[in-house]
Amino acid sequence: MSSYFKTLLFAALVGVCTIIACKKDDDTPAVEASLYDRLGGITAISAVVDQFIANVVADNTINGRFAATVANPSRARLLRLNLIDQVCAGAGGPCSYKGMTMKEAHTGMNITQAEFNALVGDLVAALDQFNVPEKEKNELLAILGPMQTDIVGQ
Amino acid sequence: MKVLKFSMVMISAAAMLGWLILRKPASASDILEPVCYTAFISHASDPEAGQALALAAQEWEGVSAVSYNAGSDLLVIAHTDLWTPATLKSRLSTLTSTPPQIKQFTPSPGAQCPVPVEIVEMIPGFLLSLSIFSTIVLAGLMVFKRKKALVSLYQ
Ligand code: HEM
Repeated sequence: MSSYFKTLLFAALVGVCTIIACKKDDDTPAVEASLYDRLGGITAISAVVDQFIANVVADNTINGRFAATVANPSRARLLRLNLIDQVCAGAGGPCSYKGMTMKEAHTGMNITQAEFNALVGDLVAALDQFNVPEKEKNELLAILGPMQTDIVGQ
Repeated sequence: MKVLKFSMVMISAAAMLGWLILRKPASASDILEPVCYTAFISHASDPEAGQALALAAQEWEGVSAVSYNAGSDLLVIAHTDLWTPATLKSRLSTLTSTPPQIKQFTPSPGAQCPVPVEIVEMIPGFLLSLSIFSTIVLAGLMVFKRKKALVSLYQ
């Protein structure tokens, strides 16, 4: 057998093995994408956070709390970025949250349960406006829900 | 000269350390354009008119989110630097007979950070610049000293 023929045979063998290996991969159950990917990545998260903040600012029951933030564009920008990073990192995305802990950020504010519920309502409205599926919505709320104890009544 | 060099090394090292501690680690959000929020009292005749304003504004370039709350009659627009509150107001005014009014939020008096956020945000960048600057000065001093030594060697 000529060396040319041997090489051709070897290449064909490698090709067949690769196809079989890929086929096997297809058969194994796919690992579910992270919540970050399922939400649509950073652009989708930032769109939802923008809508969420806009909903909060329009909401008379809690917007007084954010008066100083809205009055100062740099402060509003920082809060927006912190919220985006927090949601992105919590959802398993490539972000790092560099803001205060929830306890540090909300201590001294005496936030009531009703205010917390109003804010969550504004978040749910934002998620619904972007037609985020129920599963992803619940996963996101489950990440933020446990923060309640560090936010309410501090 | 020795004191100057030592000071430069110390400043460079301290500034670099400060920058390393304060810098924001790379994040996917770094690519996002900054956004501001402007609130208007819409003065809409009815909730449908307010909602129509919101839907119209949603389509404008540089607007990333719009929220209209019928209960508060507030129309809030999240926008990039393409817009200012004044330009948004004049554009909105072309869509309605009763021009919306910019809502001024007055911060409640109370304990607030005395250092403006803008300054706090600038600190890491300032520290990095300081570190780079003192390293360049240090390198300059060393080159200067070497040149002087070479010149004296050939003389
Ligand atoms: C799940 C619920 C909540 C989350 C995830 C959340 C998250 C955050 C984050 C990330 C910050 C920025 C921290 C920093 O500056 O380092 C912040 C600040 C703040 N939060 Fe919350 N928060 C929640 C609930 C609330 C509620 C219910 C209120 C009041 C109604 C509230 C009022 C504030 C205010 C006034 C600030 C300061 C904003 C500024 O720096 O100008 N938060 N929150």
